[in-house]
Amino acid sequence: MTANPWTRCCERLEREIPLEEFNTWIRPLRCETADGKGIRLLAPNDFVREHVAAHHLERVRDLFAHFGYARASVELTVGQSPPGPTVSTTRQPANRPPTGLDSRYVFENFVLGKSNELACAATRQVAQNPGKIYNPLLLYGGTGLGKTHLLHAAGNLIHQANSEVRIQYMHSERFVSEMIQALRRDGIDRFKRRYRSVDALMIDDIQFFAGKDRTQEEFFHTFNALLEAQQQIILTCDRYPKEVEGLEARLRSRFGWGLTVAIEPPDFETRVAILQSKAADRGIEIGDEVAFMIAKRMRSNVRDLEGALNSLIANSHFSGRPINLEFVQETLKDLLTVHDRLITIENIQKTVAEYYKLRVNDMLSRRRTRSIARPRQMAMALAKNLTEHSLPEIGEAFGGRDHTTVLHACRKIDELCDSDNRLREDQVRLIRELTT
Amino acid sequence: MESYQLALDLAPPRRLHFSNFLYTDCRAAVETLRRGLEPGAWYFVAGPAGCGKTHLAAAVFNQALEAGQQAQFLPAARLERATLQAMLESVSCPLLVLDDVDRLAGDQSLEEVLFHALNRWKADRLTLVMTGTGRNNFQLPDLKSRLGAATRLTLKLPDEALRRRILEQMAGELEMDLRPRALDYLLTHGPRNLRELSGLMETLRGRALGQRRGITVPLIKEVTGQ
Repeated sequence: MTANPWTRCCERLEREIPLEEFNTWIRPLRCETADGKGIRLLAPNDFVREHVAAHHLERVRDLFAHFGYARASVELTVGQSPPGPTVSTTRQPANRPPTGLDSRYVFENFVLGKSNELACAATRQVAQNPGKIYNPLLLYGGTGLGKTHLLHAAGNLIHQANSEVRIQYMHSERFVSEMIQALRRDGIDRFKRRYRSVDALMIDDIQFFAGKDRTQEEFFHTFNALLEAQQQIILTCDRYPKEVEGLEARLRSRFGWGLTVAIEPPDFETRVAILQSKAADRGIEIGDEVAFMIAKRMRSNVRDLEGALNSLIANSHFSGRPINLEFVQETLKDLLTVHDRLITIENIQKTVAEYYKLRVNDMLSRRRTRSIARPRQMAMALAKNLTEHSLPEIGEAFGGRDHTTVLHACRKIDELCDSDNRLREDQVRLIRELTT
Repeated sequence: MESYQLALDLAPPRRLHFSNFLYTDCRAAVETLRRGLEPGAWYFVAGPAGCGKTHLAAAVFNQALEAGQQAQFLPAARLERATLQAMLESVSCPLLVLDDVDRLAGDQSLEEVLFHALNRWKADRLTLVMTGTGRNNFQLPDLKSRLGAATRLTLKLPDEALRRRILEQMAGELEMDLRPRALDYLLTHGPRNLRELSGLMETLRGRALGQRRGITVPLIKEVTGQ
């Protein structure tokens, strides 16, 4: 039996060019017709097509000529045919533009805790009454805390209540790139019409609009048009929008017209609940001690918890071992090491000193002025909460202080965080910085 | 004067498949990649340089293509910066294998390109297999956090017994006559890193063919300059 000419061509090329180059450029090509009449090679995208055309096509034509095909009959184009098995995607009704929503994210599988309950409640209310209560709704907070989940959940709830409502979810970068393409192709009016005609617009990570003046200009007008027509806008940002440098003042001010809600890193109990809920979604049960152990060591965000859980499930599935403490320690060893690496007393002192614009030596000194004492107390409290060190060890590391001083610092910071929002904000930021 | 004959490249380069990936203690990682990939999920194969990550990554890629699936392979450390950026921005297939993702760490603009690409791939439900040291030395917090969500599969450097089996296998695939003393010498003096070991074997093969010599300890010393 004669082998397919493309297979024979590949066998030759594989010997002629480095393997990684072969894998990157030649292997993804598909040969559509090799029936004696002509050859059509399909590249997955324009960039691959251009590269192959510039670097390999002549040689490919030589080889096909060697196998009896006319050089001119070898054509290289972009295409996806013949179809192979593909991954399933969220289906959209045929006559409607895609909403960008992921149906897996709903309010029912959003794990609530002290850190996110306000954001969740506000988003749900908005989704139940789009355009009528808080407009715009802006959720802000660090990465991996559930902002995107809430955006999709809101969109899905709006869609569930009325499938005729036109919803658009997108990441800010897609908004920017679609606008640039529209400008290039002279299609900006169509772009404007499209975004100004939706009933609910959800844009993720608007901090990426910073410094992009043309995008901000267009978004500003879209924003006004939607707001005037009482169409709902929900946005997310990784920090309080007024702190995003490079964002126009008029946009910042408009973002504050509706409701701005913070979403904070989950506390220990919420982290445990998230782990158990996500495990249950996968049909796995994990014991309390395992959930406690992971939640204690991984504090920064929900994605890390999810990644750790996925790793445990995959490893347990194919090794046949139960997910117990020993298995967790073994499987997540290097991951936990990466997490622990940053959280040393020394690094906490350095990070806190930089945050408050002090020198580390000031914090270790005997000086008791408030501008130094408060950061010192903050650093001690963080060391107690984020490391396994004992109170005497922490005291020793802070210039040989007594353990009762550390205990007092921890209590003082806890007490102040309840009454002083600014200090609470400092603490959240420092924890984020130290744990991501 | 020494004369060299041009090496005739009769044997094809080593094909990287699951069937020729030898291992002892990472069965769960191998099996997850071989038959446990979930559509739309992300995987991170972590381990020190030269432990076999690229072999597994290529095996995933080859298996997918052989099953008729569309896939792309991006060796990040081997591509020029501009090419890598353009490739990340243009990927469009159900499965992407991104080898040596650490190459992007610390490069602010490439990190941002990868971050935006990850968002697109998530929306498109692309299955992603990445490899790297797993140190997650990225600067962009959003990128770090997204990579943290991947299922992590960890590999270790092979021990001596496994390296012996791997060397024997490489010699067989490259049709090389590797004498026992030469094998022992390579085990004790050769690189522990599998990528370097594989490169050395290819060089030895070329040199042996060119000079019509067997693979002997003196030849290895000559090639490695030891």
